[in-house]
Amino acid sequence: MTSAFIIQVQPQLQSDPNEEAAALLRVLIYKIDNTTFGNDVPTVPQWSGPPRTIVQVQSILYASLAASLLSAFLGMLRKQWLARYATTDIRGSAIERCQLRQWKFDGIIAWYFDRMIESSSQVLQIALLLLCCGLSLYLWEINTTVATVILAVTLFGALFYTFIVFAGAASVSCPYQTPGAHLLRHTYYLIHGMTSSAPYLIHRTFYLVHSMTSRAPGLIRHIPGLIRRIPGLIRRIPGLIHRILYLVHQTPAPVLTTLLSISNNSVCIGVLVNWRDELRMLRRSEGSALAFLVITLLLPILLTMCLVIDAYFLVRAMVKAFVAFALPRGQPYGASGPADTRLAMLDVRCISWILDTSLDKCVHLSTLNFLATIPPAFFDPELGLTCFNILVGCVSTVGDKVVVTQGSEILMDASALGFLHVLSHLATVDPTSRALTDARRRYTRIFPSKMSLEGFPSYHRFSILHNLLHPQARLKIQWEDYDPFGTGHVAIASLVQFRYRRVWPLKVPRWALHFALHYLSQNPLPPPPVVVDCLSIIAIDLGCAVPDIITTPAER
Amino acid sequence: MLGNGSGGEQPKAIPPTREDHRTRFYQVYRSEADEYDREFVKRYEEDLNTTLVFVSFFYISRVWWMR
Repeated sequence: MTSAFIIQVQPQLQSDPNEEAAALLRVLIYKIDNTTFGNDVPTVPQWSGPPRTIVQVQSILYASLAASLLSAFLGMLRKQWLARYATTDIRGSAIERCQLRQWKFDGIIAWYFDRMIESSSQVLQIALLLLCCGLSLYLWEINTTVATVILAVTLFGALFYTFIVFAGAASVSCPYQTPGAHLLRHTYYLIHGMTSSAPYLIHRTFYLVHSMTSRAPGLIRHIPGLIRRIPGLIRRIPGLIHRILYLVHQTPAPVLTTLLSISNNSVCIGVLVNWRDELRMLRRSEGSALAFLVITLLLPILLTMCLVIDAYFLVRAMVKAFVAFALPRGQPYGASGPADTRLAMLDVRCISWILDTSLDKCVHLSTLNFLATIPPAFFDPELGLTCFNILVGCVSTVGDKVVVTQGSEILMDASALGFLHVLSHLATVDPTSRALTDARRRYTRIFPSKMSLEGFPSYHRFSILHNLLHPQARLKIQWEDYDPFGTGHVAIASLVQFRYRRVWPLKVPRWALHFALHYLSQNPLPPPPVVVDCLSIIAIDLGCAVPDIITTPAER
Repeated sequence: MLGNGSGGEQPKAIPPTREDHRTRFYQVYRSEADEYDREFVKRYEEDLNTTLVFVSFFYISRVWWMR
């Protein structure tokens, strides 16, 4: 994509051979007869490099050329990326291909693909700007009038673009959006946030400095005393080491191994644990010079080195965690982790995506049906809120009566089941999660505390949800024709445990007790985890100390 | 309209298993994802084509200008 324009300007960078030949010819004619040129003697001109303006023009034009080449290159890459995203893998079943697609899509969200695509066309705009600048500079040298025309158009374009950027930054609804406007808006928000918190920060800093300076004389007075104490501290090191060794010997081996695994194989603890017996021998032969030497000199140095290594690993882990936290929004799940875990995660991701994207009730229904069958893991609070929103969209209140929208009965049933399912996981993992609080707040705003659910389809699920979500709800539930479903009991047990465990005089609500008793009174007893949950509800009501959340969801 | 997803409405019907729900879900997922991706790719392809047209126009205008 070499530009003819550059080729045109190019010769001016080198000396012009024609000009030189003409000069030589002139000299030759002058030598033949001395009359042609009168008195001025022609000389062969020495070429003293290209003019400065031409060099500048050429630099700008080449920059423009390089930028447009770069933009063509980026365009090619973009085409490849898009093609890679659009092609489906040939291998694998239909389900696996769908999961792979979700995986790629999450990567696109996590790595800001849209922003990247938008910004790559900026290079072309820069190339255009450079071309216009070079052109006007070049023409200015040749002819000012022609240059004015180009300059005017360039200036108009630049002003217009600046105006568009500012307009786009000022108003989100402005249709003339550019990446620059996006950047500008975010910078403004950042600076605004910083300046609004600046007075507080300045006040805190001032307070800190003030308190430090007011205490400085006292601290300085203490320094000689501290220095005087250092020899005493050094003298105490052997004693300290002895005490550590004693502690290591007295601790039982299982405790030490647990400590080692908790600290993620800390080198320091590892040395103490592995050399336990040798250290014991050393302690026995306390009087000998070797033992003294080792304990006073070598062991402190060794332990310090180990501490440094530990600190290095700790800092590295922290940096890694920070990078993983700060960089992509929502880490795409990498190749790590067992295959079935990854598949379960992808299932949940697919469900979340489709519930967020689609508005079709049929799609929602089959998604929620599938959601209720997968084992509770990797549910995020957003998913719970989405289920809750679908549920709320199906019902409305008339006075103190709840009615279902025509045709949404099955969807309401499925969404109540799905929400209870997600809730059971969230309540086990994080009972204080934001989703739960949000759902409670919205529920309280929409539904009254006392309402009649007589003849309501999916009566049990909805009344359980009502009692779980509404703070003042004391709905008496008829358990007679209760058909046990899904993981509802987990949700009830977890939430009851969380809310009533440590506050004994507060009794467990009657409905939960009735629920537990109903379950336990069935003739073929329900599976053991359900029995455990029911028994723990009863135990909490009686005020017994129940251990922490008893089983993990996976074991259920 | 919504009844076909849950099954088990007729008496004596075998309730759908987990695999049935999974298959049904992924059928729905595929059709939705196909539609979404078609729009997604189309949008960026069009954007890309605009850029390429611009690049070629840029190039031609430069050549033409120096004739």
